[in-house]
Amino acid sequence: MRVISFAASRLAGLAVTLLVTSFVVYGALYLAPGNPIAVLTGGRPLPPRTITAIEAEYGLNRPFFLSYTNWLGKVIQGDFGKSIVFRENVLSLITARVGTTAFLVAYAALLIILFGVVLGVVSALRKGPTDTAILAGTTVGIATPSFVAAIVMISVFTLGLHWFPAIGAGTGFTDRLWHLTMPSAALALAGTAYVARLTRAAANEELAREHVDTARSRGIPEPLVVQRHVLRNALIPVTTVAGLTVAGLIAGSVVVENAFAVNGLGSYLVTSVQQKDFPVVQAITLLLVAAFVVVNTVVDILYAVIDPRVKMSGADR
Amino acid sequence: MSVLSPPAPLPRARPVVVRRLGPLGLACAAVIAALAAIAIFAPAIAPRDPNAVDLLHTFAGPSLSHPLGTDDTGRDLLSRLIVGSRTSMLGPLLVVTMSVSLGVPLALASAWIKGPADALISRLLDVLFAFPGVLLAILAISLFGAGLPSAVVALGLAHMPYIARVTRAAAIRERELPYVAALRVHGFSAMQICWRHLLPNLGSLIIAQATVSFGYVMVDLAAISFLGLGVQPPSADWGVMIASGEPSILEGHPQQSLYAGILIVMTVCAFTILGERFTDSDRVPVVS
Repeated sequence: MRVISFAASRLAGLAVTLLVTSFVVYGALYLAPGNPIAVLTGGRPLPPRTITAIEAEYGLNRPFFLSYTNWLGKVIQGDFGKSIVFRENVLSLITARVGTTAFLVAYAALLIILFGVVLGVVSALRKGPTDTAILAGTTVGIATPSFVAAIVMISVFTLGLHWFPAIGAGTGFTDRLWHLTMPSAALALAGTAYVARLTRAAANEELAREHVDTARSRGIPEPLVVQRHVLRNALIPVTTVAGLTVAGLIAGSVVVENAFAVNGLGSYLVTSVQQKDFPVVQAITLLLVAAFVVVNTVVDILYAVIDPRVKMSGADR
Repeated sequence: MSVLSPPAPLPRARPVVVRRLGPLGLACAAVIAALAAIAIFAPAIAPRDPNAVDLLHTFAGPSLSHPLGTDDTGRDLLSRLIVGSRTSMLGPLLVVTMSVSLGVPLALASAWIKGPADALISRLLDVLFAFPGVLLAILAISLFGAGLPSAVVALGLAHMPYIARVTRAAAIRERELPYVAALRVHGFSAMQICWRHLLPNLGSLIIAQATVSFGYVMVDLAAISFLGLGVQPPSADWGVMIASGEPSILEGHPQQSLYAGILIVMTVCAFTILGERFTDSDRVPVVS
């Protein structure tokens, strides 16, 4: 019951956030210098017939609020309007690229969770030089932007060792895996370092607690102590932060896709900004923010399910 | 008979800042001070014109006339890195200044008033959190055109909630302390208490958060310039240099991108470590 009412309040918050986001993305049209038509057409000289068609589609001759609800209604049905550059439905242009971005983000998320937790645990258990090295490495890792990681990786693994291709997303599963390994690693670097730091801190905290001493004094073998008493408790806070870090990858993919010329949503977003194709910019921004918010909410709710001790604000205890 | 030995001289007390920062923190502060000096005096320090093209000496190796070599059009890399520090450092400075000057008053007012207004402001901040800074900046750039100003305003708004959330949480704790009640009894106005007492007491916390934010904002701004949406080439900027050096990497000339990348990583490291030292704990920094 408790978890359900918590989830309900979170979902309500999600709905409000999504609504406000859509309002910002649409209202942006009116914030720009010039009129919305100029923004939507990117200032291109178009025949009056086309302009009237766009006006009618967006309901621009109606009051702002009505045109917004009209647009929102269409968006909910998956109609994001037409691309000014390709004269094609934005939705079909986008769906062709969603898969690549999703693959990239999922791959990076896997790397973060795997390497982040392993490095963090090793760092906590192996005091001394190993710990110091991991600590130093993660400090640099957190500060390394994905595009810097990208150029280093291209220099080393493409130019030097010829292991991985520097551009493109590949076709078919294995080829895609091979093509997206470097982009995912670049995208995952900062997050991995962060999760490793957090895991280390959480594991150290658990190691110092009495229940661990008690377990040891009872003669439970060390591997079991670590597994049952340290890791199981330490991983609870790590789950949340890892989840939030993964959500952050969604925005980060924009930069990485451009660094490796991967044809996903992010590189299309940047191309569309450069080509002044505003309907596409609107749709991709909305989609990425929505994905980010949804993942965040799911992580929040999952956290409540995993850890019964979590304090539920907005729910009766 | 007892011999009175003269009292041992007390160890000279080091200033609080020095003790709190430790050697690593001091080194970071020194790096930041040096970078700031380089950025301020860049035109005087740069050995050559950063935009002077020399097509006879492209991709030149290190030499006396070009200590770090040249790029694909023969421009001096060292001079470009030095001059590039200006936009690379000024951008984050403007963003952080903006988010602090918006976020702190908002947080103080919110914590002071409490009640429904506070709840509303907190919800608003939550919604702003939902907008990743880089995406908000890209949206703004698509409306107002590429360049540093759109990116700075958008990132300033996007990073404001981080400053505001930390400040609000601390202000709520602070305002319950007895000295605040005492000041109220003495008839000081809310403005006076917030401005003259709460703000100075929260100062070190705000500075710590702003320092950490500076690092993250630098990454975001460099990313936007890297995407070709921020500072525009041929202007020298670290983000721009990484992007314009990228095509040459596969031709075997990664220098331009690498040097600019190293500078970014070094600067961001210095700011995050210093920020962590300011917070005076070994906890992991607040991520943005």
